[in-house]
Parts: sequence; C-alpha cells; structure tokens
Amino acid sequence: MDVSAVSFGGDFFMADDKQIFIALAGNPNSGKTSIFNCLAGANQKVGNFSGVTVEKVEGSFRHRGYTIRLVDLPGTYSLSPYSPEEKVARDFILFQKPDMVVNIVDATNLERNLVLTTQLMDLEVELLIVFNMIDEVEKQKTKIDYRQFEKLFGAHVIPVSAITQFGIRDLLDHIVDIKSGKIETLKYKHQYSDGIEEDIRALSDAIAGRTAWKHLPTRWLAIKLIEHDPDIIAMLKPFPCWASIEESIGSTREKILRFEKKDAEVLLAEERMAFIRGAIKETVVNDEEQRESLTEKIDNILLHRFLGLPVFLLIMYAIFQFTFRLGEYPMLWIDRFFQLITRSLDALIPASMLKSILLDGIIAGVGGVLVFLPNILILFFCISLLEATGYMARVAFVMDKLMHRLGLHGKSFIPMITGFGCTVPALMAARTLRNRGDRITTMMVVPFFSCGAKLPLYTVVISAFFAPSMAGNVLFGIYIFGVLIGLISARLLKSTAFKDESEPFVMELPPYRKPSARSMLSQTWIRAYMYLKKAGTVILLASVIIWFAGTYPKNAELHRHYESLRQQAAADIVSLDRQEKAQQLPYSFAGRIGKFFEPLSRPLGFDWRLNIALINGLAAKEIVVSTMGTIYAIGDVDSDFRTLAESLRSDPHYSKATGLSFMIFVLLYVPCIASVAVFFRESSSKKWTFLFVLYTLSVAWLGAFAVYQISTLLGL
Amino acid sequence: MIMQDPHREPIPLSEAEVGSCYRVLSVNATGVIRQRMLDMGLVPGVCLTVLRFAPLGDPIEIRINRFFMSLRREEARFVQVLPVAICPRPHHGRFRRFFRGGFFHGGR
Ligand SMILES: Nc1nc2c(ncn2[C@@H]2O[C@H](COP(=O)(O)OP(=O)(O)O)[C@@H](O)[C@H]2O)c(=O)[nH]1
Ligand SMILES: [Mg+2]
Repeated sequence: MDVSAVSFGGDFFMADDKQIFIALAGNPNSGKTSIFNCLAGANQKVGNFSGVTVEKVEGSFRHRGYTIRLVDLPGTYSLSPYSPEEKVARDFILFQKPDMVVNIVDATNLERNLVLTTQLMDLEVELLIVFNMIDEVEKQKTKIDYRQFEKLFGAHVIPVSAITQFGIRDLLDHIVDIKSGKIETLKYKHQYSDGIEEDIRALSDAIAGRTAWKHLPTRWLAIKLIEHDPDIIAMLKPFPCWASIEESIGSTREKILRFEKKDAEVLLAEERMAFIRGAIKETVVNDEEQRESLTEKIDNILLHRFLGLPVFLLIMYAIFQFTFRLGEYPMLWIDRFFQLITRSLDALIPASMLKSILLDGIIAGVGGVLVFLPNILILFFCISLLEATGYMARVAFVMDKLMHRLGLHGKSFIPMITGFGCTVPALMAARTLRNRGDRITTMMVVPFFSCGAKLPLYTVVISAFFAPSMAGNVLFGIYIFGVLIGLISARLLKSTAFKDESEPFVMELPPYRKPSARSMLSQTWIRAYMYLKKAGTVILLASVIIWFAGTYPKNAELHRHYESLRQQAAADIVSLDRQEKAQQLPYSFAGRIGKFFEPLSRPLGFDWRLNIALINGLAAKEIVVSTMGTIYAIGDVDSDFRTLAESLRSDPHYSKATGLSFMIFVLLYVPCIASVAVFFRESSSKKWTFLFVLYTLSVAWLGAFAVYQISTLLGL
Repeated sequence: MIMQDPHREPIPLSEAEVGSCYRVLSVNATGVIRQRMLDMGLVPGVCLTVLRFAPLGDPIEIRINRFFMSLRREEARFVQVLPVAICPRPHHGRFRRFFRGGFFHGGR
C-alpha cells in the first residue's frame, strides 16, 4: 500500500510535529516484518539496538498529519526473555517506553500467541492488538467475534492480512485515533484469581514506595517477582531495599506452593492459559478443526522417519545444482558483455598506462566479480526461501540429534546454512544460541560452510579443469568437504574448550507458509545491491591496487631489452608488450610477495601467482578471482581475450590436483576482514578472534596439503 | 470432557507413543527452561498429540492445538503426561467462568 498517498488523504490541517512512536511486538513468525514492510515501505533504516548487536529495523512514515515512527522488535514468546534477542524486545518496551505497543498476533494460532498478549496487558502499556493472517483464517472458515474479544482483552483488535494488505489502513487509522484520543481504550488489566490478585496487590504496595524502581510498571514487576524471573531478580538485587522485598516474595511463593501444590510460575501460566482458552472458546467458531492441516501433511513427508534425511540432502543438492546450472546462462551473457567492452576499448584507446589500468585492472577485476552476480542471487534466493517457508526450523529439527552429538544445538545448523550465503550474517545468526560455548563454537566453524563469494572461484577452477558434466558434482563435493571439516571442528571444540552442558532444545516448528513474492524479491535485491556496491567500491579499489602491485616496480634491464627489441621490430609491438608484461610480473611487488610465500605453498601445489590471489583474498573472497583475472590478463602472452578458465587450463604448471587443492584452501581459510571484525564484535574476545584466524589458516593449509598430495598420487 | 482411562498411569513425555494424545500433568524442569515451556503453552491441563520423532530419533514433535513444538527427550523427561483416549479440540460454546472472581474488575 502506498502510505504516502494515505498521509495526504485526511486531516491535512493537523500540525506536522505530531509524532507517534510505536513498537511492533509479537511471537516469531507472526508477521511483524511483513506488516512493518506494509507500513513503512521503503523508508527503513537498519541499525543495532544500543549496546547490543541485535539488528534493529526502524521506519517512519506519515499518516493523517502524524509522523509515525515504527520499530520492528525481535520475535518473542513471552516477556521472560530466553535469548539475548528476546531480552532486547522486552527491554525496549520497558525502558524506551513507546507510545503504543502494537501486538502482532498470528490469528491462526491464537492460543500460543495470546500468551504474550496477556503479559503485555500486565505491563499496562497502551496496547493495540493486530490479528494478522486473516486471509488464512478466512480460508479455514474460522469466525472470530472481534467485538467480544475486545471486551475480554480491553484493547482494540484489528484484523489484518499483511499478504493481501487487508486492514492496513484500518490499523493506521486506529493508531492515529487512539493517540489523538478520538477513540478510547479500555485498558483492562488481565485479572488472575482472587488469591493471586491479593498477593500481587500486596507486593505492588511494597514495591511502590521504592524510588529506585519507579520507572518500572509496578504490577508487572510484582508478577515477575512472584514468578521468580531470574532476569528481573538480577536487575533488582543491587538495590539496598531488595532485602525486605525478597522476604515477602519468599513467603508469597511458599504460601502458593502450600495451598495450590504447585510453583507460582506454573500457577500463573495455567491461569493465563485458562483465560486464553476461555476467551477463544467464547469468540472463535471453527468448522474445520478436526482436519489434518496442510503443515502436518507436508511434514509427514519432509520429516518422515526414513525420507526425512534423504529429502533434506536432496533439497540441499537441488539448491546447488540450481545455483550452478541456472546461473550458467546469465553468466555467459555477462562474460560476453565484458569481453566485448574489452575488445572495443582495446581498439579505441591508444596504448598507455591509463589503458592498462582500465583494461587489465578495473575491467578484469570488477568484471570478473560481476560475472558471478547470477550465482550469488540464486543462492541467496534459495536461502531466503528456506527461511520464509518455515523449512529452516525443520532443518534444526532434523539435524539436532547429530548436532547434539557434536555437543551443539540443532539451531546451530541455521547459522551454518546461512554461512553458505555469507559468513557475516551467519556469525550474527549465532546470536539465537543462548549458551556462549555453543555460540563461539558455531562461529568458529561457520567459515567452513562455503560462502557465496567463494563460488566464483570454484566456478572458474572447475570449468578450467573438469568436464561440464562433472561440474555440479565437484562443486557439491567441495561443499560437503567443508561441512565435514566444520562438524569435526565443532566436535573438537566442544570436547576441549567448551565442555559445559549444552543448551536445551525447545523450539517451534512454524506452519508452512507461502512466502510473499515481494519480500523474497526485496531480500534478493538487497543482496544484489550489496554485491554491486562492493564491486563498485572495495573491489574496484582493490583491482587498481592489485594492478599497481602487479605492474611495478619494473626490472630495468628487462625493460631496456624489450625497448631495443621494440625499436628493431616496429611491426609486432603489441605482442612484445604482452611478453614484457609477463616477464616483468615476477619482479613486481605482488610477484615478490607471492614468491616469498612459495616455500610454504609448494607442498600445496601453488605457485607465486596463486599466492598473490590468496593474499588478496583476505580482503574479500571475490577478490581471489578478480586478482587472478588481473594477474593472468597482465601475464597472458598469447591473447588478451581469453577467459580466466582458459588461461588456467592452458598453463602447464597447473593440473586437476592444483585446482582441487586451491579450491580447498579457499574453502577453508579466513573468510575476509569483515568476518574477522564481526567475529570480534560478536564474541568480544581477542583470544577467540585470534584463534579464529589461526585455526582457519592452519586447517586450510593441512586440508589443501592432504588433497594435493593424495590427488597427485592418484595421478590427477 | 477429557476422557481418562483409569488403568493408565502418568508417564514422562519422553516415553510417549507417536500418534497418541496426552494431557499434561506437570512440568518439572527447572529455571528458564521451565518458564520457556510454560510460555510456549506447555502448561498443566493442556492436551497434546505426539506427532513424531525426528528421523535420527531424537527431538520429538508434539502438537498443542495448532502449535507445533519440538523438544528433546532430555527435556521431555521432565514433563509428566497422562494418556487420554481422544484429544479434545476446541469447539464453540459459551464461555465458562474459570475464575472465582470473574475475568477482570475493569478500570485502570
Ligand atoms: N498468509 C499469510 N501469510 C503471512 C501474513 N503475514 C506474514 N505472512 C507470512 O508469515 C511468514 C512470517 O512472516 P514474517 O513477517 O517474517 O514474521 P516475523 O518473524 O514476525 O517478522 C512469512 O512467510 C510471511 O510471508 C499474512 O497476513 N497472511
Ligand atoms: Mg521478522
């Protein structure tokens, strides 16, 4: 929906400075992000919540003269935080005090979603309830009595569908109307049974006088204390008045245990659930309850006892084949396009240093990276597809036993899979793990799940040394090799450095949903944009630097030799120039550095030119290919127009064994500077960041060594 | 009403059978993990259906109403359940008063 159009619709005479600050809260997968996108459109800003590295998406837009500022909070099941992300969501509501909390509720799954709603009611904030997924509710022929529901929950309820855009305008109108006081809110408190209410009141009175906690909602604080929420207790403990409160909490809990024969938190949870079930009974009429849902039917296959694992592997395999095969055609076009540019520029511009920078540096480098845009896009599209449909959680379910054997959590597999896209978000995805040992271990092994930026290199090397029919299989083999190394490393780390107990596995398997085409495309577009931006900035700059390092300094004697040759044979100057460039390469900065590392890289089968590519690859993995593009363009004696794969194939120094070993090294060594920086930020440990770099480098050397020696023995 | 087979004994959820329905009696896990189970709707009194074990045999998938949840046997051990003959699905009917004092006393 075009929100800007709406904003000029009505009360345009209202003052412009009116602001409404809104937080979107709700369970994971309730559709917060979809609704956020509906409301804020393109006006989004991604940052971090202050002090923590949890992504914060903010947007703002205007509606009927009001500026509405919107924050998409991380999904949370309750206000008793379980993960750092959930803590962020709770603290935001608690301390940032938004004008209104818009609670997004998945209306197809009210029973669980409303648990958070009742807790938000305890908080006594301005609450607006949104029943999302109303399109599905209607498909199920479920009828909901919203008016009755509003009476029970004491807040306005707005049916909405983020997919069909139904109700979005109504939602906006309500936000403005509530803020401007045009419509009233009931502001009921959710009432527990009389006994509990008395306890809450007594404890509230005891808390109310303390100025130290004045900024916190008293009733909610009392409830959390009765529940013995460890996070809240830790928050209040440092205050001197804690001691007196502690006593009354203890006696309250004891009393409940004595009379009700259960812990206070269980009793409160039961009462909340009873309230919710009662409310649902009164307001929801459903004809199709008895039928097995589509999700169950799909899971009967996807999570089948015997089919589950093969299907999972098949899906992974299909993604790689898809990425490779489908990407082939657009890649060919882009490649042709750059060859065409090179040829025409070569004919147009007279020989000069600038021409060399442009052709051998920039076009060879940037072009070499842009060719792989289709690959990257397809891979990212597939990963977001897994995420959006709900299969990602099944991956955790299917893999948990194995992960648990390694001492990890099924959820660790999600950062690992994200690692196939890009290591940086994968490292950040490890935040969903509660246990520090699990988190660090997962982060340490994420680089072995080959990121999308390494794909270009594999593509080039595979097409240089392997038959096209083998390409998909070799690629799959490389990826699997990385996965195995990753899993072994995890086991190693968990049995040495982090021997503490592992995290419990309690998670939702969200219902399967058809992802919205818009959000899929927008996510893929963001990736494309980031890739293009990188190509236009970092890689462009790196290409020029690499060109310079590959061209200077020149050996004076060699130069004089070629000068005299040029003067003698005026006819074939172009070919002489090429020959000189090739002969000069070993004397250049890059050549010297590459040669310096040759003793270390000989057993892996790499010569100094490959070393240069690897060193440059520390900046970003795309640069491995662009460096090779530049180096081989500089050093190519026969032709300026050969593709990189052709140059590699025709080089007598290289064989299948070199190709394999090189791919393995690229697969395993430090992903990039950015990933190291993010690792440090996420782990906040110098020691682990150092080990991250050291470990990946050593594993890469050992892996490539083994692969090269074995495949040489096999005669590849 | 929930039908209970009087001959059946409470069992831990980890020993439940796939395809059967159970009523939750108690959640005895400790600390945050118990709060999490409660917040996700695994509350004494609710009925659940055991849908499956994961292909490798461990996490167990249960359905509570329309909510699909999975947990390891390790955690399921702490959940005591009682087998019930049929899993009552919510059906429409008038609201029963669950609380001694009514739902809310209104006002601020
Ligand atoms: N049918 C339907 N699906 C929706 C609706 N809103 C969101 N979804 C889907 O629900 C899934 C989760 O949505 P998302 O916005 O990522 O939820 P979040 O985790 O709360 O941010 C996605 O696959 C969406 O396409 C809706 O109104 N109707
Ligand atoms: Mg979201």
